[in-house]
Amino acid sequence: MHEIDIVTLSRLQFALTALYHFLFVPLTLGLSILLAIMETVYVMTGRTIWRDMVKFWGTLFGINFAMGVATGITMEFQFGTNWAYYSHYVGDVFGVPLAIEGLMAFFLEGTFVGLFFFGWDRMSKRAHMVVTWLVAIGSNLSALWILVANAWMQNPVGTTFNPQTMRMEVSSFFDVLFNPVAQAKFVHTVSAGYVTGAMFMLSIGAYYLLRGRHTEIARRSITVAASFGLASALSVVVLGDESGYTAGQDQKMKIAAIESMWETEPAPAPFTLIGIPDSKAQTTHYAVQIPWALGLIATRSLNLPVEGIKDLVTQAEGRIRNGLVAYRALAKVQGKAGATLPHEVEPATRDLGYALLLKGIRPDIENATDAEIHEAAMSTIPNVGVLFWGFRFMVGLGFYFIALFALAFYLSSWRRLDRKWFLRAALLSLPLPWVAAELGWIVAEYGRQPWIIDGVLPTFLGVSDVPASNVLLSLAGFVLFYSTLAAVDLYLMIKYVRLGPDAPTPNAILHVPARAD
Amino acid sequence: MALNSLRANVATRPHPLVREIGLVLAFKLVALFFLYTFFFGPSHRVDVTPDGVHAAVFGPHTTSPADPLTRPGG
Repeated sequence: MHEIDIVTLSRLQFALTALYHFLFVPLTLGLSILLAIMETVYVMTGRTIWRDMVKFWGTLFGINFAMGVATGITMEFQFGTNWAYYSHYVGDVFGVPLAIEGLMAFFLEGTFVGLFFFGWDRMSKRAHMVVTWLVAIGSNLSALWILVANAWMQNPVGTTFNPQTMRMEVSSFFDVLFNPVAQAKFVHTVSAGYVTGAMFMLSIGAYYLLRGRHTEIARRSITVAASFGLASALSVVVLGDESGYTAGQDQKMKIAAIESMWETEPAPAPFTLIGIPDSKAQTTHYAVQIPWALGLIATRSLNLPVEGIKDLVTQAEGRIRNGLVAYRALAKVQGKAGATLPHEVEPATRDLGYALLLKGIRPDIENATDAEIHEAAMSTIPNVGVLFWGFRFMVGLGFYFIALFALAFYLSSWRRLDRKWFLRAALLSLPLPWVAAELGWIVAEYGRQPWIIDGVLPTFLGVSDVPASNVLLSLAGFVLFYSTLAAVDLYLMIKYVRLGPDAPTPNAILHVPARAD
Repeated sequence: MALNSLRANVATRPHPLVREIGLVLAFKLVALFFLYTFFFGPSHRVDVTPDGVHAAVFGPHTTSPADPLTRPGG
């Protein structure tokens, strides 16, 4: 019979919906800013070709927006059903940013997207430009709140655990909002979205030049995409470095797993450029290393060590033992009105989550043996192979984007966009930003395992006790639903790219008399 | 006359993209409604109380990471 458990199924379902939803998000983030930039050029110069560009790229933006809208709501469904214990445990913290994001997405973004499409002939040029900027700002602010919620799962700051309500409760919203992980993630993620938007324009512009169609719009689009894309691709790498630094401070196991670094290296630690990680033998074969690089990325110093997986497992064993002290004390006070934890036990509560890892091994964790504590500590190691290769492919693509956009910038500056090899390379690169963005999510979320909230709640304890057959059937339903949407999305995108900028845009058909400026 | 009629027809007919997106959004709403009703509605949710969470997190019966698909109710 099947050995798929409810935890794996629930994780698989959430991962599928999150990865699918995130196919739409980066393009919305990037293209909305590019639309605002192009419309600003139109307002400043009065040249109608820029308005035509905004309308054409705006049509493709509209398809992406319409396809993507509500694909994320299925994750909210899952919070209530598959992840009920998690939702209760963190609802006070998690609910606020998600609610704000909902308001941003549905009211601010939705309203201005409507005005963008149907306001061309009803508003002045300047008013419409302001609307386009508000679409871009609204989209980016939505991303901020989602990443604030996600960053709290990576680095749970500004909260305390209340044993009476069995909830994490906000003690400082300021700390939650200005969580360094949230800030680093936000700028890194939106920059990746800008790269996606720029690559979209670059690739489709290259397609038109290869076909000798819509060349004026294509050249201008490539010029905008090249400069914006180059700046964004550089930002992604620089801001990704900031993400690496925050992970080096708060998620040491994730950094060690990304590096497949089993032993603590003397400071400054080298960065493994390439190698073959071997989790069984706990080593990396044929490692090619860059001296000092990891020490600089993870600690920003030359004298601080980067701890290896083996040492971190030893530390986890100590934290499990410490957490058991808190566990025993909490079991006594829970349910007794007015009862509080003894003062001397409070420091141990920060390690309570580590003790809970033992729940995956035996129910009466107070009686755990040394071997079981070691086994629980070993479970804090995420999948090293997936993280090692996922991270390297993502970073490799990041540097490729810099090179491609730099080349596009050079060729467009010197009016040499007739190079077929470049145009073909640009066209073939179209899917790569999505690959990089999805790999980024996999590294961030898979690297957080075995935790649903880092160091606080193991993933398997956040899952509801619902029938596995229900999750399996709904997972099948999601696959069918999302596959259909993906096919329709591709069909519409290809159809309207082929029609090109000459096809009438949805607003052009309405024939509303133009308003005088 | 014929041109005016064509113009009026074009002006009232929705753009193909508007029609296509409308259809997709309608499909989405129906699909989400069914998914919600059959798998995520209130009847499928676990009743969560502080005691329930305590039992799930601290109690002896927890959702084991190796719990097979054949578990009771599954």
